Amino acid sequence: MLTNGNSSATSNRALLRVRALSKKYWIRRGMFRRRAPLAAVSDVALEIEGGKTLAIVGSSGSGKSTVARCVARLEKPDSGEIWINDREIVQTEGKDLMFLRPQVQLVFQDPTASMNARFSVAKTIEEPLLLQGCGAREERRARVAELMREVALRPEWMERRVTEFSGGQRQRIAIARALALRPKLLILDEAFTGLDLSTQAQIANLLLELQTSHSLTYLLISHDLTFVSRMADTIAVMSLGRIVEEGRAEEVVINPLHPSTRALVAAAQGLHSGNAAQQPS
Amino acid sequence: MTYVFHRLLRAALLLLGVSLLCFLFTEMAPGSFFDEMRLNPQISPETITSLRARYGLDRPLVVRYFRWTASAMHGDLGYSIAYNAPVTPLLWARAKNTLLLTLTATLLTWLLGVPLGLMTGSARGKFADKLATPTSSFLLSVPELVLAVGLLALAVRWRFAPVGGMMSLGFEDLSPWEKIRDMAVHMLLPVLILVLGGVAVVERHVRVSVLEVLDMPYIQAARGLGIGRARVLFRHVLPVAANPAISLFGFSIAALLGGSLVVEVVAAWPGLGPLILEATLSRDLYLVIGAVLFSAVFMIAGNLIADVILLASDPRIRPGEPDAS
Amino acid sequence: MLDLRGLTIRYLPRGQRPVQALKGVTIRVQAREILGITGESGSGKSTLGAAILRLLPAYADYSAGAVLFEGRDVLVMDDSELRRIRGSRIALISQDSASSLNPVLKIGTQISEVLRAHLKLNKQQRMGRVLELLREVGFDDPERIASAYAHELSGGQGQRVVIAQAVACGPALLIADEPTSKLDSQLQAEILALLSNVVRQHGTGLILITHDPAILVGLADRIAVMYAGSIVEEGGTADVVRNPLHPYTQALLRLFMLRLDRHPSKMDKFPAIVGEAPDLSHAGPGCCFEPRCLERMTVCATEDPRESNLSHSHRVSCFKYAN
Repeated sequence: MLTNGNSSATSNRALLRVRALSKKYWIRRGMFRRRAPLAAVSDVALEIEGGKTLAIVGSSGSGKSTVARCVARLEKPDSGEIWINDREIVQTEGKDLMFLRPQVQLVFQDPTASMNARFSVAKTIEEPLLLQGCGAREERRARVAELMREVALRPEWMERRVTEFSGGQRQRIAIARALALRPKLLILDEAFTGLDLSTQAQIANLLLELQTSHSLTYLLISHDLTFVSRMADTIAVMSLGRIVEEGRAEEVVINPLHPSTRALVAAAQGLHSGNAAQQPS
Repeated sequence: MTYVFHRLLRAALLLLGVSLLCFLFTEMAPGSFFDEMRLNPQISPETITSLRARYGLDRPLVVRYFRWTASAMHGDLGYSIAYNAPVTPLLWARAKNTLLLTLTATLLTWLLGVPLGLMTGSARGKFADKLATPTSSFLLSVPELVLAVGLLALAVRWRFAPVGGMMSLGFEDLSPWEKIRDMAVHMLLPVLILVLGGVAVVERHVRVSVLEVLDMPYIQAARGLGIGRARVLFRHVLPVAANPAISLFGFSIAALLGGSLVVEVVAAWPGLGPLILEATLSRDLYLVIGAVLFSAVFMIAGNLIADVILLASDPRIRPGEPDAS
Repeated sequence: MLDLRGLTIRYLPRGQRPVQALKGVTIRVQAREILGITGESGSGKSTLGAAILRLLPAYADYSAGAVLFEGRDVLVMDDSELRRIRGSRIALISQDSASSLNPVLKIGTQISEVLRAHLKLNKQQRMGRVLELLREVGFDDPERIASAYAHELSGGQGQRVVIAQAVACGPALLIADEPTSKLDSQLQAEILALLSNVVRQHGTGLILITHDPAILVGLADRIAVMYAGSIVEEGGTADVVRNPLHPYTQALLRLFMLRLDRHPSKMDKFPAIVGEAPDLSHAGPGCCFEPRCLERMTVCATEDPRESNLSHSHRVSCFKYAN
């Protein structure tokens, strides 16, 4: 089910549309500091309908994180178009991008690294509210309490420092922070990697609930194909910067076409068949 | 190698900039060498004017600067008005004395400081550390001048070392061995002052570095693989902990010519320090600039050497290495 | 070969309440056996791994129990004997390979150091052995890797090097603490395959510690499930997976089974375990899993569960099976 730029699944309800996205990174080689390009992402096209989940899967180096960062406009793509709710953001710069922040939020892999560990929970969660200039202190604190309840954390713990919480709880705090501005699109970049199995399940349930209650759209980035197939409506598989396969989640997993996809499926399900050691990658 | 070349190029440009700034500052400072003379009614204004012309001080700044730069390239740094002699040989003679002092002091400082730092870092909380830490804190907080004068006073009182000069009277008549002994004895006081201040700094830096590295997971992993404590310290910890110490070493080299001014003045050691002081106070233009340039050369060289050593010893900072994967 | 008896360890961090990290852990590992230890973070599995070699931080207190290795108790050994065992008879492969390798020493040197600490080889012999080891862990170009530095290697390569260090002196037991949790799924499979090969070829025992039981199926001979510092269930892998007894094991396996489902579809709800991980600084009497257990009984909250042996090799600590 390889798709090209014009997806037949186009819908005018597409919250996120990406066309021909490309980004190169320049790396320095040799003593003379010549800069050679490393194509991180080439000609990527995606779409997500409102309220649905798209997962991008691939092994490390496939470019999936770069796509996430481009969609969040943390980086500027070299070429292509990204439409969020019918507003194009690649060509937008500076102050004009301000509208984007409340709409698109990110949750990162390592909650410890994405938050200032010395901050209290309240301070962490209210930061986006402060940046967007929201209201008085009481209002903010009320909103923080509300958000904490949504992610199943007790509001009484508001003033505790982030360091006092476990990994799973910290990820909840990160999610609460991401929800503060009532975004439409949530990008989860390897948000489950490194968590315990049971914690993964809890966070997954939380996200599924929130998706229904807030009609959120998710862009999920992961290397774990089987886990992701339980959470996503559609899956796009990336390899070496390109999307090599795309389609409905079940179909991609049950019937993988591209060799990269097959390798991912095999890795996830063949863990316990004791394959012989392969070459180091 | 290209890296070194680039650095040398940058160093040359830096020197040029330093010399220009120096020129400008000395020029902008109020007064000139001849002010005192002007006040003296016995010297006629014509004499002063002709003196000024002789030293080229009546030419515009730009001209003076270029003429000076041109001759500096040949090693001729101008003429000292006060000493009525060319600057370069004057500087060399004094610089040699300074270097004698500072090289000895730096060597001793590092030979003592590094093992001390290693020891206190690895034996944290134990007796050696409990003794060394307050001592180095004390030495660090006492200003150099106070330390110098204090030791000077002690030397006068207890007569454990001569308190001034580089040689005793009648130096010329001594045998070579006695000459060395004589100079060493005179060096005792200034070296002591320099070393006491320096060892504290080095020990502190090394200690902090060692403590930090000891907590690192790869050191725990090395212990976990059965490598002995001493071996881990010297072969695994030290190379990593050396990094910040090497930067510090660069500073030490940089300060070889300039950092001992206070000590030299207090202990009356005939080095570059007292010369610069004197020259600045009397606005002896070319002498000042020449001396500053000398110091600048050492400073830049010191940093360059430190950077090169760092490059050689820490594989993480090699520029432009492509990924092995 | 390795016999842990009633190992009990507390952490006494300064200015905070003591934490009960391990409680009465008793387990055996035979030669050539792969034991998998699984549990959530905070279950004590990493503590267990490090405790075997007495590599816990200074504020750990070995309150009770013994760690018998080939008949001798590691906990009472003197320093020199301990040093001789570490790396040569028992080797620990820790979690993050990137931080287990010294950043300023060449890879070859680091492996050579392990050899130097335990074997009487001259420099040339050591270098030869280093290259041999690197080849064994799957590098085609061992010379290049040996003269490379840690930051030049990828995650998977780094992990292979750490494994090479661990097997350098031919230990009888390897302890791998989450060797693959920071790697993507393809690399995971490769590294596990490597470990399995190494173990088969050298006849070493392996204790594989992980939070993901999926890794252990098909690889480990026996599994021990830990929760809040105790072993709640232990037995042959096939037994435990087919017939999980403890409610925690059952819940864990339900999650794990999702992976094996050949017809995945977007779920409404994952079968998560309710509640939060236990706070080990407030350990009281009673079964530690009780607050989250769907089958709890009144006795579970007041008494510590005793062990029951359901078969010769399958034991569980749960009141459900106490007769």
